[in-house]
Amino acid sequence: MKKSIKNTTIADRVLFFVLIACSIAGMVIVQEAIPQGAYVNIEIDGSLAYTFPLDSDRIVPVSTPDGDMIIEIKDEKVRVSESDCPKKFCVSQGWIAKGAIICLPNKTVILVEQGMPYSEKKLDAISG
Amino acid sequence: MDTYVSITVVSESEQVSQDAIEQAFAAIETFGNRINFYSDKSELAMINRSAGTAGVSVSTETLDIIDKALFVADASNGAFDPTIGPLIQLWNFHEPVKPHPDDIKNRLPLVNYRHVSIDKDGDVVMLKEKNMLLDLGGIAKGYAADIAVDVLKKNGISSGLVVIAGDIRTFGSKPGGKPWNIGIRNPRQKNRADEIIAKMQLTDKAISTSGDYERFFIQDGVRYHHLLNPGTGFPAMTIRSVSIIADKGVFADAFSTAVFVLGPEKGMDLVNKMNMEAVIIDNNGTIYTTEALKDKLYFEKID
Repeated sequence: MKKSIKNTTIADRVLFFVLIACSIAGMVIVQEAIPQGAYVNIEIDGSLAYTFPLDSDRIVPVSTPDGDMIIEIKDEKVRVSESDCPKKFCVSQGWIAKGAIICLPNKTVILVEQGMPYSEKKLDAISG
Repeated sequence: MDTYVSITVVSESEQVSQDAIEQAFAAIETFGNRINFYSDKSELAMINRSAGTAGVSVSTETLDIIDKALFVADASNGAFDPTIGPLIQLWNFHEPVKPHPDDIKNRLPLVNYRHVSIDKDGDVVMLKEKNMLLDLGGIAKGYAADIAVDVLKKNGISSGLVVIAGDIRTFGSKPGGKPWNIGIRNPRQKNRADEIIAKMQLTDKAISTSGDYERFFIQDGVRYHHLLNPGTGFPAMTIRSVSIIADKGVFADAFSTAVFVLGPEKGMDLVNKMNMEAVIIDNNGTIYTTEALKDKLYFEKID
């Protein structure tokens, strides 16, 4: 074994190095590419009102100063199932798994985001 | 101490930081050994062994934590009681077995903080009745955080964060003058995503949380947990978790237990009377906060 290492050419060593670099890069890419969990952020009139994980099903009644709506999270998708806005574009948009649903009359933005929610990202410590 | 301890400091010198942190850990260790309920060699064990027979001369530190424990017991009218030891011994949360009600009934008279006498001049502590047991589990972690902060300050550190399990003490601010970001654990966490129920920023404050999710078993749909009501010997049932924000860790820790036992309404009265801040999550998941906290809390709204 020792002997075979001694007999390597420069090309062998370059190849060896490239292979290692590739495998490390692979690990990093895989970590970045696989989502750490997606979240539904519901913003009302410009400020974040709710954050829910996309992978647990729930129905959220939301009251805004401009109108009420019902937001449903199911099977890692989200939709507005009911809204009392006039044209109901938000309802007709149906289920989404990424991107956003925007209801202008109710000033509400439903945003699917990847990664940790805001609250967990920046904590120095947790009490409890 | 048999628990998770983390110390973070802000300093320009790595050497100063390292030395200060080592000193702080050593101080916590010394203190932990003095008040360990489960060790025969602790000062606490000596006090307990001498119950009903003799006073025991202890370190100033041990005397001080007992003094503060009695203060909180008095302020909460016994909702927090450091003589809860005989009841704690009956409950074992590793196996889902409730103690026999007769055993609890027999031991209840032993739980009475008024039967602890302390002599501050001679540093002597005495339990007046035989078989009484002091247990400082509901106050020791917060006190240890205070000890650590004192040691860090004496060693030239002006800001940092000491975390002992769920008991946190912040002092000074983060680099750039920013406050520390602290989360409160969701008492009914369902997945990794809803670990936190609320988040806030703290500077020069301590926060402690008492929750029914730390040590418990569930039997016939009832959650039996470690936060016992000293008056009944059974777990206090009206609250899921209490977080108290106070100037000192020792008071945040002990009052979080007291408020848990008192329930949301009486608990909040006590918090206001003591000029502290609190987040209380009751048995239905309803969240109560003190007035001053209302615009400082960032909530994760969870069902």
